[in-house]
Amino acid sequence: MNFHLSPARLDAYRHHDSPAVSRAYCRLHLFFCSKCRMALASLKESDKFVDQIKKAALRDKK
Amino acid sequence: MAFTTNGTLLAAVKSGDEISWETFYNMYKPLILLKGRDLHLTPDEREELVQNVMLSFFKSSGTFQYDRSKGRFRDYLRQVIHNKACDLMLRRHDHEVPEEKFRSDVLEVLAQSDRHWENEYQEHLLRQALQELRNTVSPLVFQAFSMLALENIPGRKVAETLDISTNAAYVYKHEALKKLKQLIAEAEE
Repeated sequence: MNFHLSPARLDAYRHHDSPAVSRAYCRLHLFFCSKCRMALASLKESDKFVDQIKKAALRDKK
Repeated sequence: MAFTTNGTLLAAVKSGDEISWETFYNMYKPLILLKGRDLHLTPDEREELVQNVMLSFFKSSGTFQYDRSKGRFRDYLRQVIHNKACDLMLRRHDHEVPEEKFRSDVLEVLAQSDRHWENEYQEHLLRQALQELRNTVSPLVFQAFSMLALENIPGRKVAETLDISTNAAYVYKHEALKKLKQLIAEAEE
């Protein structure tokens, strides 16, 4: 598969922030594209990084 | 405040560059203060800890040579803070407790605190990177990132507030995340 979903688009999809048509397209694409499924999984990993930033930012405010 | 690799900053500090000294001071003061708080130093003692650590660096700046192959800067910094904090804590000894016991207690407190050092240093890097990100990217990008990633505001609400598309909000979020990772990687060199 030559066309892949961008990280931004995948992120919007997993947060249910995509329009219905885009959501349906992403769902279908992910069914067939293992590379994008891996990219989606790595977004969940990057959530841990975001959590670390939140924790650091919170500590800064104290 | 410039966010740069330790090696670059330390070399500039060693050459006596005043702005670099100020950058060094502003970069590490919050971390030293946090460490002081973890060690239950009083506010005055925390300020004194900062001064003593900075003075130690200043005195050794002429001869200090940062060599990545010999160890990480964070470990050297930890040791300097450890030594200066130890001096401050030992000064509290009021002779009600035998000195040896008091010293042993102080070292135990320091050892326990040291176990958290890696996490504390990593958090410090993240805070510095976040501050630098604010200075590096456009206000719109930072705002979108902050609202989406840090405040967990739904994408559609972010888009409405910032008058951009939902897709743009997520694009900005990822642009900021990529920049953050780059800044942290550079700082850890």
